[in-house]
Amino acid sequence: MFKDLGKIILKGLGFLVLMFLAITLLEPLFTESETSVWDDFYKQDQNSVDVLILGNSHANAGLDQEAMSAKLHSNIVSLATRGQNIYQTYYCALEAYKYQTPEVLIIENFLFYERLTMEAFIDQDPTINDYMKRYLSFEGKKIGQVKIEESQAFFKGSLIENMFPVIKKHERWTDVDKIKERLYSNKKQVRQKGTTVLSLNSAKKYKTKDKFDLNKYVIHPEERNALQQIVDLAIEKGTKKIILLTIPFYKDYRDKIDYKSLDIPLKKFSDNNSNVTYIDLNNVYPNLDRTYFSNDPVGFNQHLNYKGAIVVSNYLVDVIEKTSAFESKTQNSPEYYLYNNIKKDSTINNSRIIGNLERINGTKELKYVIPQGKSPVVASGWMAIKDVKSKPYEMFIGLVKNKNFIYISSFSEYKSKDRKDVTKYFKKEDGFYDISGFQIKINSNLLEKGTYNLCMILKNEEEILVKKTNKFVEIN
Amino acid sequence: MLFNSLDFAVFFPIVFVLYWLVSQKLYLRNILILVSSYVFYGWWDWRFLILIVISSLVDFYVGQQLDKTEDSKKRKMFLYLSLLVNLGFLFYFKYTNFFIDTFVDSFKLFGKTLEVSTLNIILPVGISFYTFQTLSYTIDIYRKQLKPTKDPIAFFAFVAFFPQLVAGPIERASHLLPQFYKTYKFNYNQVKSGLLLMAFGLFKKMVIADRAALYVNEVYNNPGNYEGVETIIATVLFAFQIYCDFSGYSDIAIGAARTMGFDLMKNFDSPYLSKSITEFWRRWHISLSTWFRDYVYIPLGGSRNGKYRTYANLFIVFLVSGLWHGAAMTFVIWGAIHGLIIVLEKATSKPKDILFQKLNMNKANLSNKLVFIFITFTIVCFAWVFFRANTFADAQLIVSGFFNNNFYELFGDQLYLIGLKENEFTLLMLTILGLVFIERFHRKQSLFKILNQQALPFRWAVYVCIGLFITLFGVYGDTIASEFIYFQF
Repeated sequence: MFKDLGKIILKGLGFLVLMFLAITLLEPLFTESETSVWDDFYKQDQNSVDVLILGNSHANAGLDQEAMSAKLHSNIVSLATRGQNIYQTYYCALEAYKYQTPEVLIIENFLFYERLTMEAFIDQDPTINDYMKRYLSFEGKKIGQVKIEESQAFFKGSLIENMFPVIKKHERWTDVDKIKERLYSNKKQVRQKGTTVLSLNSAKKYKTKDKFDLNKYVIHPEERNALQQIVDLAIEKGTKKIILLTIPFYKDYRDKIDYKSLDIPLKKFSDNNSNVTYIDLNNVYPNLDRTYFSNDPVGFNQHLNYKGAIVVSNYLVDVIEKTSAFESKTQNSPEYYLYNNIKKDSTINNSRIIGNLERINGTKELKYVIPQGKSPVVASGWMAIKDVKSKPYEMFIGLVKNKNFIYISSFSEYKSKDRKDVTKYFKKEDGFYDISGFQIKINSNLLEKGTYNLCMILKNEEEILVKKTNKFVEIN
Repeated sequence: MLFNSLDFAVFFPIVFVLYWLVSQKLYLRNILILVSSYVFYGWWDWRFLILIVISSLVDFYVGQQLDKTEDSKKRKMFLYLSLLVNLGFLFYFKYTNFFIDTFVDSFKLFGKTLEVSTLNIILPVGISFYTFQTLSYTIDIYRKQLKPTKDPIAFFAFVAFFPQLVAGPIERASHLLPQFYKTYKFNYNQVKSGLLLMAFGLFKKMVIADRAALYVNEVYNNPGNYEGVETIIATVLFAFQIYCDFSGYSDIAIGAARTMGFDLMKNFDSPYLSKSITEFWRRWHISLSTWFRDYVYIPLGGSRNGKYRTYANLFIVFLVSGLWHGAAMTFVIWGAIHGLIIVLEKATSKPKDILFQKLNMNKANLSNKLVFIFITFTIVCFAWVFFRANTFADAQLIVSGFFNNNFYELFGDQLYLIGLKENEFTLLMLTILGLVFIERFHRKQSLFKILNQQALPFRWAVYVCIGLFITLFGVYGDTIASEFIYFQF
């Protein structure tokens, strides 16, 4: 009898394991976000992360992680997710420090934007959009003590339901189109940066508005406590430098809110914690104009666009460089090539990029002058890997002003062009280079004034190839 | 504790393993069943365990006393004691407010208004079920059809046996109690078939019943907002909702008991394929129908006192059955409709046979069968309106809504705005069709046997698919109160 009982228990456990595997397999189709910051985090080798960024979309938009990594020759990982608050960040830190001990920890201060007590956060209406945001930093975490604790702290209902998106949000199967889209997407991360610019109309509204509804940044004792726990954890684990960072707000917003309500308590916190440096970039860049900000609704978010992120990140790199030294790490990003002026086409193998940046704004001139904001930069031509049949590669152009400002185009600025002539020219068959053409259009407001050298960049699965051209654009 | 809760998903495996570890020690095993049954019930509200304990104590004592004496007066007195305690609890907790309301309303008929307030009484879950089960014990002993048990633990475990404690099947002491006197050997195939039956019950409850409830609740809670095809669909869906809800519960109960070696009686037998209301009641909630037959209909005289008395007895049984289901006039009307149709069927059975013979019609012919099934299903659905409606006035609104012609909605998107989106609605229809197919097929050939004959990977793929199907397509979580409908009875 005991043998049979053992058999059924074993089979029961086997069934649970199979169910667990099947559910895990289906998880990505039911999560709140298609990609999770944790996917990238868990890919890192143990104790290989040099700089860890904690925050929300404000940090994501305001920091150019690739540029920072490239310049610092270090491994920088961000766990910032949309709408994250300091209570969630605490659990992110707990999980992160299980695997990594970064030399530098950056905590971006927009985490306090929600102005919520822990109780109010827990009691949020589950149907509102804000509630959904709590999944973004939660769902991708590995199942373990931290995830269980976070689930019990933030989510009502049963533990098992909360731990598995397939169970928690199983009703999502009705959104067949979304499921299909997720099923067929290969989850590759397409390069996307903030390429909008705060509109003139919005800038005008900022100017004319007397005050904003949410004009006070209350930092609750519980929030301060959460911050303190993160700092204590980081110090205990061996992090040497902790930066409390405030990324700039739009001036006409900052001047009309009680900005000191955020500034004073953070300064005080930093004074009480010797390992913590408080950096308010509003003091460094007090007058960033609208072209450094994304076109968000007036009074919300205060997101920098890519241009703003480049400027701020380069400054931050200088600050970090002064006090921290990292073991140099080779990277595979366009920024790594361009900021470090590497001559080789590819750092992975000996592939060679061929192609020609033929026209800037329709002309073949080597240098083209564009008044800022008057017209976009439109670069067209073709690029391919030598003797490799073209695939739908991701193609970009890099615009190098100097070692502190390099703009790399986004996927949204790219358009594919048919180039049968290239195949013919190289006497190839089977449409060898037919899809090698590109047209990349960049809003000139996103570029600082100055002269830029243009480069062609091609991404082939994991490999990145870069080729400098003799073309220049001057923004004046 | 709900069968479709995570609490039960933890509770049941623990009890199952402990049960089989002590299964050969009868006394210990019955204690385990008793304790786990009380935990199961007390999970909802431990205070009401007192009622079960009192009922069990009284009936155990009455059983012993009935066995000791042959004095018919004393025997009657002991029987009345059992009836008084059990029906007393039932009446107090279930019917007090109903009778107060009815009393007050009856005065209104004569133009007088009484100022009487109702009491704040919580209805203990499953009281109608375990009361009837324990009553069957004392009545059978009184009738000398059953010997009383001398083992109080076995008896208490019989009354509180957790798989069927709160929603049946209502077991007879003569069938279930002896099962507590013997030990069982672990039977692998029996356990497996029990688990599969539980999974099938969960599928019926979570995928069909709870999904149908989203549509049905919207229409029946706002009857003035819907009409025609919307109310017809809601009523048909309710027919499937209540069937899947209740038979799903029975399947889980029977399956859970089976995994422990117990055999509970069949409670449903594809009732919507019945060709008459009489047949419907042979296939629907069988444990209750037979209970009423044995303990109400037959004591009333059954069919022994002429046809008019038989009709009256039948009608009374269905009125009582209506009242058993709920303390409201709507349930009484529901019972009355069924009683009336059954009386009509009985009264017209001979003339109908003659008519069929004269018209040379074969009742067994497929097309005739389909017509009878359709007519029976229509009547059953009509009666469900009164069962489901929140008030009699709501039921009237629903019925009058049937006659508004808006069938064009079948071809538009209007239907998908009532609680269920298009995909959900389609899934519901497909799963109902699947259910009808499975049940029809299963009546001819055991699906469990067929599955058992397949190769191991196929079998496991089926198990995992069932698990995933329920996980993905079940309705659960915060969106719906997923209690079983029959808990309220």
